[in-house]
Amino acid sequence: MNAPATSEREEILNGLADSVWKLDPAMATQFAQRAIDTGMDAYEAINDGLAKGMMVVSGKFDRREYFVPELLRAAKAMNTGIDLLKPYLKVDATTHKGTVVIATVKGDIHQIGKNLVALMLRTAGFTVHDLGVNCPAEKYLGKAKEENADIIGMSALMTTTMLYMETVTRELEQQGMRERIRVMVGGAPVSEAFAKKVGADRYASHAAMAVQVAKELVAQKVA
Amino acid sequence: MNTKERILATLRGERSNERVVWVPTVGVTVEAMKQVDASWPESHWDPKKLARAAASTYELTGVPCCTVPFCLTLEGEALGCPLDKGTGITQPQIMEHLETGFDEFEVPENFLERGRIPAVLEAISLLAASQRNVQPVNMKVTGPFTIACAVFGAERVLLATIEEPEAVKRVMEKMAQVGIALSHAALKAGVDTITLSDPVASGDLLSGDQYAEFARPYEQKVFAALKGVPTSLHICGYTKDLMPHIASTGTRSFSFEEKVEVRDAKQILGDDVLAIGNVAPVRALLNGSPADVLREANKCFEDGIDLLSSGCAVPPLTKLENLRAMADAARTH
Repeated sequence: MNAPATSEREEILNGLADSVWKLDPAMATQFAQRAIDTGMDAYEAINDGLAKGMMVVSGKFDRREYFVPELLRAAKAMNTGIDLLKPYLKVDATTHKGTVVIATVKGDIHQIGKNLVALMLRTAGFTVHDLGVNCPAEKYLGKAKEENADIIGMSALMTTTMLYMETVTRELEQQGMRERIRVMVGGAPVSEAFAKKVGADRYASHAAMAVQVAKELVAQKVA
Repeated sequence: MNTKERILATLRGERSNERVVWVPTVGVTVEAMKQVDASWPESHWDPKKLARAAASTYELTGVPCCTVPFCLTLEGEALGCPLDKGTGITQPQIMEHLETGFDEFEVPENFLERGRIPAVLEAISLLAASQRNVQPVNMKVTGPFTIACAVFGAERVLLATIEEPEAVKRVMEKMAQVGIALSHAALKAGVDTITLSDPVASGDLLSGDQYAEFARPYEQKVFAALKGVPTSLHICGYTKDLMPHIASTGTRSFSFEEKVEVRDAKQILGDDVLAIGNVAPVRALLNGSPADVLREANKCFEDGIDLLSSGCAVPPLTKLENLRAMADAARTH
């Protein structure tokens, strides 16, 4: 099958992007199916369609036009499209920005912020392994080793649980992994100064900033 | 006037030139609880320890904040969610959410006899006696929106506000009835004041309109059932977009975080709602020095705060000297 003509290609990509920021999973299904039927490259449909829509959503969130309910619904639309397109992805076609292991620290079960960061990182092209909540140091380290991760991301929403971040960085030191793996942290009570204190490389105050920080950390590593 | 009378008079709107301190959210610290042999996790369950812990902050620092319980899981546990007890420094947490549909969910009839509710009510009776001429005994009831998020999971509820808004409203109605039943039981056991704590209905997660549609009507129902009771509403995070709606909840006072300036808050809240806050819990109380706390406290008073408090719950690892500085801010004036 040949790739679709330019005008139709644009219409499909716009439709995919719109379906995400208009919070419409049915529309995402419809345009993902059209992408498949017309032989569009699945990676292009995701990257230049669905992910572009998610960037619009991210901007609206930063401007306080969208809030968490809209973000969750947009993610649902995007994932609906991705699930349909996934079987058509050529594996080597993905541009891989880096691998992140992310979780909320041990003793803490807050997940909204961590999930938003994971979503934004995925949208930006990172491979993200989300270990959920209440995550002990050995689980972070085990997964990071297994996946040869570039970054460990930790979230905490309580003044008492955020102290656990230092346990993880110390364990990374002891296992001789600290040189290879960058550490970023976030969550309501966390600050730049606290990040330094617990031995993390960087702090991010919100999801969009987390993407920027992750990109910088990977760039540093390469340089 | 003793401390209790002064706080209650302030809540009644009998203004004086005195500076008044009162924390309507949780104010226990690991250090003070240890000194009175009432550490977590036992003091969440044992009524005597619960009462000793609740009274310890005022005893040891002079900051009145006799608020029970010390977490936001009391209702969720009683409604059937499995709980992790927490540790000496961390609170209990809900570990699993119910998968029940919103319309299938029923509040158990013996709800008030389940989980830790009987222990908390017994602790209130003990405190009503021991604190009679000391400080107000305060019950922290969880807001309907926050209970629903604890029981069903926050993401499920937040997404449902778009996908099945009417079902969300029906379940909020049930959670408001939980709040009313618990408040009435606490009043019967002897509390002086009630704080409705609705942290998930925060402006960090919801727009002002979403708050007004899905959280406020049910806070209103609880406050409507508490006519004549000195009440506060506490919401975490950035609450400026919510503030225009706060007066219509029927609360007597609003406790908010330092993400909103006291002057702005006073202006938006209007004359009918007292402003409570706004010493930064992490920046000042946990990580700052007594001088930092004093500076923030003085600024709050200068900006017109009605009752000085920590902007959110006092961080459990706060040093007692920092709380003493907060008490001093009222005394030395």
